[in-house]
Order: sequence, then structure tokens, then C-alpha cells
Amino acid sequence: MKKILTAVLLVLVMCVSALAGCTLVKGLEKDVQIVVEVNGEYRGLYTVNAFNNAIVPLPEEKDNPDPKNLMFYGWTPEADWQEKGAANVHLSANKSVVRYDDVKDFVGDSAKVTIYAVYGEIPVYDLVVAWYNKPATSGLDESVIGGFKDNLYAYLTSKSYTPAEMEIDIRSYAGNVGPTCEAIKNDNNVDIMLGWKDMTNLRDTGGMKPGVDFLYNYGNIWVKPDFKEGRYAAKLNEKDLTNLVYDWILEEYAGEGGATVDYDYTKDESLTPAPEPEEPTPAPELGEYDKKLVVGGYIVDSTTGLTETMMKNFEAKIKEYLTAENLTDVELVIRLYANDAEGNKLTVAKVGEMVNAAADVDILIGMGGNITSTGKIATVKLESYTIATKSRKLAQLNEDSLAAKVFAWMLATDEVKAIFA
Amino acid sequence: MYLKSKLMKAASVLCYVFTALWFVVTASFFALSNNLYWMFLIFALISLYDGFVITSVREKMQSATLEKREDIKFLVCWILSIVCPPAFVLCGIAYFRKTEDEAVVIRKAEAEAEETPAPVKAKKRFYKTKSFITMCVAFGMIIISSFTAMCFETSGFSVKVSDFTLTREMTQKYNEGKINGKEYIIPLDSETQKETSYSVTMYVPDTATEENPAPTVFVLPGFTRTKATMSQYCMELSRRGAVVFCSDPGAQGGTTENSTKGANGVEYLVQYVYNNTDDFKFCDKTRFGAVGHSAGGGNVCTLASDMAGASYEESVIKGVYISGYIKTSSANKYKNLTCNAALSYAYYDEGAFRYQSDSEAFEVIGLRFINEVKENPGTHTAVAYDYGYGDMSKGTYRVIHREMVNHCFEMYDKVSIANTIDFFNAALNMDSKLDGHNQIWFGKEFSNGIALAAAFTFVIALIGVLMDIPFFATLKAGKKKEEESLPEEPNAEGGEKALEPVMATVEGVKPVKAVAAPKTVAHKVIFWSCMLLTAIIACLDYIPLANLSIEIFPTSNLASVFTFTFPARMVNAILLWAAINGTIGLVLFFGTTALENLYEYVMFKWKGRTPVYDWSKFEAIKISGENKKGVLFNVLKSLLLAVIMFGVFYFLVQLSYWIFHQDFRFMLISAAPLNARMFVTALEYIPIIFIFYISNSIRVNCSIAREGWKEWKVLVVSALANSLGLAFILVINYVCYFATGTPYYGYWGNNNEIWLFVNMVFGLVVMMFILPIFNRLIYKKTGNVWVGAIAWCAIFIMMTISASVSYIPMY
Repeated sequence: MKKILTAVLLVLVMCVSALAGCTLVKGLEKDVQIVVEVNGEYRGLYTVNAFNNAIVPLPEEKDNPDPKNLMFYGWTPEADWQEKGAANVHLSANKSVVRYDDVKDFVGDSAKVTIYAVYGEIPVYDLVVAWYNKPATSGLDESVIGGFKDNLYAYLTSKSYTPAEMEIDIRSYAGNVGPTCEAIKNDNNVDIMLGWKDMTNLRDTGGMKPGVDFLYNYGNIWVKPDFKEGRYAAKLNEKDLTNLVYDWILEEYAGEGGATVDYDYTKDESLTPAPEPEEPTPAPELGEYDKKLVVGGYIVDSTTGLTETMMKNFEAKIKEYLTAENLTDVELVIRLYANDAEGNKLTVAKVGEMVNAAADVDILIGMGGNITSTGKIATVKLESYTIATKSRKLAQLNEDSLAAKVFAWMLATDEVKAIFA
Repeated sequence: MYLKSKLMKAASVLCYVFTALWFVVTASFFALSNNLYWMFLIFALISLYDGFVITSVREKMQSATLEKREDIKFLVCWILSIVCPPAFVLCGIAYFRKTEDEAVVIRKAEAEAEETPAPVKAKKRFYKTKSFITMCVAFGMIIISSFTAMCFETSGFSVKVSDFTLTREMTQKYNEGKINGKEYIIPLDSETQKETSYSVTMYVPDTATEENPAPTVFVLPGFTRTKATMSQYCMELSRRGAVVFCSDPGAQGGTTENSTKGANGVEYLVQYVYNNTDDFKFCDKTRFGAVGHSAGGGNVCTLASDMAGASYEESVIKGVYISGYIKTSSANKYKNLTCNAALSYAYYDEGAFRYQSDSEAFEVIGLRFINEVKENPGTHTAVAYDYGYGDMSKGTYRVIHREMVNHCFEMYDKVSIANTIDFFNAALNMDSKLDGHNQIWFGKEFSNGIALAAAFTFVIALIGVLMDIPFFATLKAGKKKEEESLPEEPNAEGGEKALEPVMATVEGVKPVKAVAAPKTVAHKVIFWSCMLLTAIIACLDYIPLANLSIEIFPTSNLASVFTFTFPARMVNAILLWAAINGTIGLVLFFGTTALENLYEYVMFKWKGRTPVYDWSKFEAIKISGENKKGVLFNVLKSLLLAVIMFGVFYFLVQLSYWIFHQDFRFMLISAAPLNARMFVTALEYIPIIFIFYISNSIRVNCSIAREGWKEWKVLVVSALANSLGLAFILVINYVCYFATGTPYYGYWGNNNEIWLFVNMVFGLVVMMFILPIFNRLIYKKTGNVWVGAIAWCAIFIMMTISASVSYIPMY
């Protein structure tokens, strides 16, 4: 009986303790009142605790003292943030959602804290590569990305860039697809996304619009070679440096069989209604023209996709064309830019130097988007041209009417495109 | 002496109580990343070891005046007990108590006079044995409680509850009319091209007839939950007149489809019921609703979005209740909904820590929920909870609830269920007069819980009955013959016995046989240190091992990888934890025994002290027999007993399901009818997890039970030793959570989400608490540590797997 009584008492004590514990839980919650202030102006009073955040109104555009150079960084409970500088103050993790965590260390006895809108300089980047920081899904973590960064810097150096002096941000985005894509859209300065999934996933789960929020997405990318599956790389704009790095990623990290096209905005018919079939643009009238036609090809097989065989086939084709057009007096020169005298592969910059030095090249094929920036080659017309499934460039370098005619022919003729495709 | 001894005993008990208290404080400070936890850990250890020494001094004391050496020890203890203030006061009083108390002499005399030799009991007939009677009572309890549960589930037989399997053929047959331009046919398995199916339970109230078709609600559980865990929703809705369908999601329960894509199968079920013109005339097809919890919440949101059509009139689903799911991928579908909708998210939902950004915080999602209404977009800037926005008659009604509960218990929360009922009552015009808070589901839950306990009791009692049969009695008989030459096990039923060292050696002769050693302070320190160590390791390694299971197993944390290699993604964490901790337990048991005996041997060689070996603790591990053949037979009989236990337990489950449509469960712990998928999956896990079960059985029966304690104390200590480590995971996690809003175990390692693994601990703690008790009970009946270990391993693992996911591509 004594035992039973003791057992019952113990059970009762445990139950009472559990109930008391549950009641105490509520007592642990500490409500904090937040006063929101923008440029000294009161914008509202909100309450947060460990389980409740506050949605605060974002400052308006007119609140920004210097919209050209400054942007809204977030909120800080530090009243002297202007003296300390935007980079040195405690900022809220978000801009519109203020959490208990953001202010808990600044709460005084009154359980009230004022948060101030912080403005800082708009950062400018040469290149922003976003990587999906969810290792179990993407295979990417700090160490893998460390290796990627080393390779990227080495590559850029080989292309005559000085990455150490450039503003390159290899930025991690952690969390699920939806929030990370949302964050990328909000940041609005990412050039390349690394480690996410296919277009359907980016669109349906990530809420990104194909052709708007990203332009290309290629699969079979293995930044972590021994990961369980190939991931994707998406390109978000057509800046020269973006193109250069994106092409390099597709080349350097593609698995067996090469990178696979998942999305290419140029082939997305849903973006714009299919154009009415147009009459083919008539070839420009041939007036006075240079009797010497020089077509250059940048042959670094692993990068440009262009090969000597392609150029030979092209030479035969263009000869046919010139004959058919009664341009038999034209001296055709096919000039290949592949290796220097020591057998090293030519960089874009070096090709630029050679082309500019020669000053007679009419058409140049196989260069990337950096033809003008890195190559420093002046172009009259510059169009995307598919070479071995890669997006490369076809450039017309002068105003010569023969060059213009051949350039237009190359763009319009499927047989020529087939040689390079 | 009596008073002094009592004071010292009270002081030592207080020290143990404060040990527990300091450990809780240590865990709390650890949870808050405050380094002061080291100080409290030291306090806890001082309290514990101080308690041992005080006990030791008390046991050795001959009179109120202690010997000089013991007096100094006690003085040190008194000083150290400052970490336990009440003990400090008691020790102080005891220290200065120098006079005898004669009461003890009188009590001793009285006690001795009361002691009479126990009469020799005649062997009872089997039907009069305690085991057989217990078995019968347990069986009766199973029948009665299952019947009671059935009464609750059928709302007093006014609701017909039945199961069916939704096949591809069925979805093809009734797919004449597409739903809003979409076709819903269960696809063939992408790899095997085989047909798969979904397991469905249907609740049809008597009031639902062809003439009076009833509103219909589709219920979907979340990740690692089967349809039975949502029976409370089904019961409460059906007793209010709604027809309810509840299905097992992909890779869970009786469903053979592995994919969890789309709406996780519920879309096929809705299509089937909607287009079926033969069988579901009692369903009002203009009043369909859907509710799901956790991942199930996301699935019903997808369902309502996919079947929304252009307007409320076109929407197949007229009311959707999304519970415990606020991912942005789901929120992106709010704008498509053309029906009335409710969103609930537990105030203490542990998963909320993941959603703390501008785009995914609950407050943001809540705003989107009330603003992104297709036919009535809002411009609200704040959300009022439990307030209905919009117009119910136009399908623009929106309401958000935040119940004061956590994620995994949200579906067992009375308020949450009441909110769901009230929503459907209004949204589907159920016209029920019953208040939402008028609920009876816990009657079923309680009855199923009683049935579960009775089923455990039944199989334990069954072993008692079987052991009386001569065929199995040889198991114990062989043991008895060997034990005849040994002293009786100290903790036999009837009470604590003083342990006298029995020397089985002759001076100067090589020591031979093991004997029970006296429990010195050193022994206690070793014993309790091992206990503490295993508990601390069990507490600290579970989450890292859960994380490791994500990293190394093919299923990882993906629902898209189907494999035969350890396909139960969530159980993989338990697999690693059990294997590691089981091995550690075995190493400590054998290691400390070897060390203790080595010490005796060294002392014998060095100082000539008569050694007191304790090899006899290994006796229980041996399966004995008269000869090798006898041993082999007894091994096979042990296995047979374990198989019988497992078979009978699951036969009872199946029997109860056949007759009453009830399995055995209590909230997160359940034993459900088996299927091939569960069976094959369990076969992979049982051999490895068995390491833990045998380790536990050995520890309980060969170590803790030999401490010379009363049986109840053995059971309590065993149960606590096996479960406290895991319980402290919850303490650490939730102290941190309630203090900061972020669980201690949220992300781990490479940003892997591991908070769901902590949810599993709720069920695991209970299982780990009862396991050593069960192991002990079976051991006492069989004299064999293996039978209990094998049987409980098989039963518990099967229970765990049947309640979780298994991405095995069997079909």
C-alpha cells in the first residue's frame, strides 16, 4: 500500500510539474515593442516575441536621401548608425520582416526598442555567381565552392582578367528552392546560378519566370564530380563576363556527353508570339567592295567549339557561294586563330591584338560575348551564332559591302549554320 | 544510530534528486549555448558521487560514532554536499549526532520475529497459473478495448467504416469526364512499369444516402504518418454527417505507390469519387472538401488549386483546410484557389524557424493567404487570427488559426480539430448541430492505447505459459542445472538482500568460479559512470547520426530516390544510433567487467589478496543445454519463442483489424497491420538494430539486475537509463526553442534539416522506456537474454517502420 501510495504521489507530482512547465513556457515568451523610424520620422509600433515576427512597411523611394548611390540596407536598433556607418552596425536579417532575434540584444528594461532605416552605398559587382547552399540536394558546400572559385580565378587570369582586383561575389543561398529563388530575384544582381534544378523547378517551385528571371539553364553540370546527380547552371543575363564564365562552366564542369540544354530563351516560343513569317531580308546591294575577303575563326576547340574541319567545310561552301554570285574576282582568305608560335592556345585578348594588328579581317566567327571587352575588337554587327551547340558570336568588323553581304548570307543560310551546328 | 543512519540515507537520496536537477539545468544551459553548463555538470557529478560515498559510509557504520577514516570521508561528503543544500543541512545534523538510538534494535527484533519461512508451493495446473490468467485477461482487454474503439470510431455504429484499395484500373474506369480539363489516372511506375495503388479508408454515416447525399471530405496525413493518425478528423467529421475518405500517402502505410508528387494521390481519389456514378451516390459532389496536415496540408492545397477551375462554381473542392504547411511553393498556389480556405499553423511549430525571411515568414504567408484571393484580392497589411475574411457563398472566405500546440501534436489538439470541424461545417453546409469542441476521438485513442498495452501484456504472459510446457522448459532447466552450484541471484523477488562476498577460491590456488562482488564505492562509481556515459552519448550522438544518415544513405532526405538499400529514410537515423550505442553499451559492459576482474587478478598476484571475480554475470548470456545438441536445440527454441512472440503480437493486431477495424496505437506509437513492403524493409533493419536490443537486454539482466536492488528499482533504473539520454534531447531542444524561437536541433552539418528527427524522439523515448522493462520480464520467464531482445527488436522495429516511410521500389 505504501508503495502504491508513493507511486501515485510520484505520478501526481510529475503531472503537476508537466502542467506547471507548460504554463511556464508562456512565461518564457518576452514581448518586445518595436518603434519603426525612417529618417527621424515615426512609422509605426509593432510587437514581436520568439514566436511572432512583425511585418514593417518598407521605406518609400522618397525616403532615400540619394537614390542614385544609396540603397535601403535594412533596419538597425543602433541609433548612432550614421556615425558607425552602414557596414558596421547590427542589421536586421530581413527588410520587411523584423524578428525577435533582430532586436533582443538591444531591449532595455522597458521592453521597447526603436529600429532605424539604414541606407548604404549600392554595391557594384563585375560578376555574381549564386550557388545553392543545400549540400544534400546540390552537392555544393564551402569546400566545393572554394575549389570552383580557384578554378574560376585561374581561368579569368588566363583570359587576361585580374580577378583579385575585380568585384566578384560567389554568393551562397541557403534554404529551399522557393526562398532562394525569391532572394535571388530580390537581390537583382546575380549573373549565374549554380546548383539548382531544371527550368520546371525554377519556375514552379522557385517562382522564376523563364526568359525573364533567367535566360538559359543547362544540366549535367558536375561541380562536385562524385555527387549523386548532375545539377544545373542558369544564366541570368547576357553580359560579356557572364557569357564568358557561363560558357566556361558548361565546358569545364559538364559531365559525360556535355552540358544539356534545359532552357534557352531564344528558342522559347511562349515568350513572344511566333512572328509572322517574314520575307527573307534581301542581301545588301553590292556596290564598291574590297576584293579581299578575310574570314577569321577562333579555334580553341574546348571553348569555342569551332574546329578546323568546320572551317574547311565553310571555305568550300563560301567558295560555292561566291561563284554563284559571280564574285570570282574575290580573294578569299580563311584565317585561323588557334595557337601562338609556341603552341599555346590563344586567349581572347591575344586574338584581339592579332586581329587589330592585321586590320584586314572582315568577319570573325567563334568569339564569345567578350569580343569587345576583353578582345577589344570593334564590331559593326555582332550576332549570336550556334557552334557545336554552344552560343558563340559572329562578328562583322567593317562596313565593306562584300563583308556585309557574306555576313547576312551566313546568318540567313541554314546550310551554313548546319556546318557549324 | 537509527536517526543518524536515516539522516544520511535522506541526504544521499537528496543528492541523487539534485543530481537529476543539475543535469536538467546543465541541459538547459547547453541548449542556450551558455558555457556555464560545465559548472552545473560538475555540480551534478559531485551530487551523484557524494551520494554514493554517503551511502557507503552509512552501510559500513557500526555505531553512531564513526571510525576515524569513515568520519573524515563523511566530513568531506558533508562539505561537498553544499551543491545540494538540503543534503548539506541533513549531513550537518548527522555529523554531530553521536548518540545511539535504541529504536533500531527494537525494530530489528520485530522484523526478525516476523520472518517466517515461505511454504513450499505445489505446482499449479496451467490454467490456474498467473501467466495464463494474465493472458486471458489481456486478451479480453484487447477484445473489449478494440470493440470500444470501434464504437467510438463508428460513432455508436451510426457510421460505416471500411477500407478499399484505389487502383489504376479504377481511376481509368471512371475517367470519362476530365476534371477542369485535367486527367487523373494513377500512372504506371516509371521504372518497373507496374501498377501501384493507394490504400483508402471510407467513413459513411447512416444519414448519407442517394436521396440525401452528404458533404464529402478528403483527409490526408503528413510525412511519416499513416491514415490512421488522422482518424480523429475522420471520426469527428463523419459523426457530423460528412462522408470522409482518408488515404495513405505515397510510400506510407498500405499504399504501394512511392511517388509523393502532385497531391500525393488524393487527386486520383477525388477524381474517382467525383466521376464514379455507380458507387458514391451518397456523396454530394457539389460539396467536396479536403484537409491535410503538414505535408498533407501542402498536398490538399495542390489538390484544390489543380481542381479549382475558373470560379467557385467550377471548383471541385469547395473548402480546403491547410494545416501545418506554409512553404512558399504552396503559397504560390493560393492565387489559384477558387474555394473557401483555412490555414492553420501551430503557435509552437518547430519547423517555423526555417521560415524567417521576407518571403517566407508565417506573417508574410498569412498575408498572402488572405490577400491573394482569385475573385476578391485583398490589400490587408496585417492578419487577425481566427477571423473570417471574405464571403463564404462566393468561395472567397479565408481564415487563419494559430493553435497553442507544436507541430507533431497539432492533429491531436482539440482546438485544432474544432477549428477544422467548424470550417467544414460552414464551408460545406454540413448543418451539424454539434459544437466543434464536442469531440469523442480520444475515446478511440485511449481504447487503442489500452489494446496496445494489453497486447504487450498478452505476449509476455504467453511466454510464461509456454515456459511451463516441457518442450520450452528445457531452456530454463539447462540454466538451473548450471546455476545450482552458484549463489542465488541477489535481486530475486522478495526484496533487497545483503550481499556477502562468497569466495570460490582456495588461498594460493588459481581462482575458479565467479561470485557476486560486494558493491563498493568504486563499483558504484564505475556502474553509475557507465550509466551516465551511455546516457550522455545517447543524448549527444543521435542528431549527428541523424545527420550522417542523410549524408550516407541513398534516400538521403529525398523523396525521389527509390531504393532497396535502407529505404526507410527516417528510420536510418535510428539504425545508426542503435548500432553505435548498442556497440558502446556492449563494449562498456564487457570492458568494465574485464577491467574489474583484471584488477582482482593483479591484486591477487601483487598483494596476494583473495580475488573476488565476477564472471557469473555472463551466465545469463549463455544458452545452456545438457550437451552440444541440447544447446543447439535451446538456441532454436529461443528463436522459436521470439518468432512466436512476434507472430502472436501481429496476429492480434491483424485479428483486431479484421474484426473491429482497429489497430493498436496511442498517438505516435502504433502497431498497424503489416504488408509486404513493411516486412521486407524491416528485414533489412532488424539485424543491425538488434545490436542495441541485445545490448540493452544484457545490461538490464546481467548488470543492473545484479545490483542487489528490489525488482521495482531495477525496472525503474533500467527504464530511465535507457530513455533519459533521449529525453534530454527533448529538454535541450525545447528549452532552446521556447527561449529563442529556434530549436537547438534545427539544421545540422551541411545545412541539413534535422528537426523532424527530434519529433521522432517523442515516440522513441516511450519505446526506450518500456523496452528494458519488457526485456527484464521476458528474461525472468525464460532465463535467457536473447528471446526478449530478438522479439522486442522485431516488434518495435516493425512498429516504427509501419508508421514511417519506406521508399522501396517493390511494386
